[in-house]
Amino acid sequence: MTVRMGAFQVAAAVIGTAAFAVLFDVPPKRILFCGLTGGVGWLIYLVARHYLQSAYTATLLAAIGLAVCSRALATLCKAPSIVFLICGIFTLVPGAGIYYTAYYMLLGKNAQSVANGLDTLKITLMIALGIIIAYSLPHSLFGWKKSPRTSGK
Amino acid sequence: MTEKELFDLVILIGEGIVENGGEISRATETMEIVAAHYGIRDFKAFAIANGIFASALSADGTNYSCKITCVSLSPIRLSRVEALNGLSRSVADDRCTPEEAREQAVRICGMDSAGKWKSILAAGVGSACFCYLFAGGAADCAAAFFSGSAAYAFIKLVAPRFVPSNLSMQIIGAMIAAFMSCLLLGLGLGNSLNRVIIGSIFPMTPGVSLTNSIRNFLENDYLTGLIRLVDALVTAGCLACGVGLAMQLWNLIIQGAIL
Repeated sequence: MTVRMGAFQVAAAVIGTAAFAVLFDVPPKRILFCGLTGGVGWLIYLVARHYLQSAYTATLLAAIGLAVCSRALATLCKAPSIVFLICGIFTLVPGAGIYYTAYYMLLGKNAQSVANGLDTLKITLMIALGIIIAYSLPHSLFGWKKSPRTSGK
Repeated sequence: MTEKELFDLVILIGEGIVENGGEISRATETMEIVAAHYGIRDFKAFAIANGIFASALSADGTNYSCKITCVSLSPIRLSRVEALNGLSRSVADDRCTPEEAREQAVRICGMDSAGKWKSILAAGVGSACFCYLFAGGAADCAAAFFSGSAAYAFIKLVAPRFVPSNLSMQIIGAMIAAFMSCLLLGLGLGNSLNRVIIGSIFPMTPGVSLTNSIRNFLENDYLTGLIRLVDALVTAGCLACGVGLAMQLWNLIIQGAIL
């Protein structure tokens, strides 16, 4: 893939994520940041897939990257990180995979259905693991003095 | 404010967070923080994706009170989660009396979501962008834009009035998306039917709830994980049914069996 196509893809990821942020009813002033989170995730995914040749590792790295990004944005904007996270992972989540799993099952193509299902499961596991890894980083890295939810208590 | 009203307020806040797509752990923690701050004794809450069970000790220490709340599985509304999170923070910082907090919580739970036309347009743009990410060409993206918006227009404008169940809404929504895609391709807009269809139903796919469910499993919240997993699988099944039906219908029309 050329750099120019990659740039177009990242732009599409930013716009697409911003559009889904509207569907998830994110406050208007945060939509741009949500889009950027999605763009960061897709950029890491593309670069990692190009150099490592593995979609799973690339998904894991991208999930870690965008979860870190959404935590940093959460500190910056004083908003819960889930706002950026849910929108940002939209480019990575295997929505198509789970749909194809059900679709091939209906068509009676069992082998393809199982292959798609396992693939979906692995990608989802990678995303979930990536998020958990990023969330286990210490709060102080992101500028919180104490744990965010109990601060000021 | 009486003890009962305080207890109700705390549960209202938790319910809002769970219903609008916040993490379960966030809901429990927020409820415990608010309860502790307003002096509810021995408050304990157990939340799953579609319910909250909470109990507290009365101020004189003689009775336990318990409340069971059902929460419907509804679309994610992040603005409400953010507002409720802000509310709990201002409670914890002592900037909010119980009366003010209740007023705020009721206002937040009735807050309007983005306008209908805005979300329909957003669904179209999202469909087109994801069609591009699935390696579709410019014409495919244009087709995905129209069929994605059409499906979402049905969900936002028609379904709330005429279609009572979530299940049939998803099946019909997917049918409309797939049928529009076939029609546009038949008219010469777009090259790859598969890519147009996957782009146009992407706003409805349960990718995020699937990921949330696996994340719940990994965080040892098996009950919530299971509820969300089954929900995601049912949604995917509905979409596949809808697309399959629409393609059958299209083939019949092409073969001239209907017209």
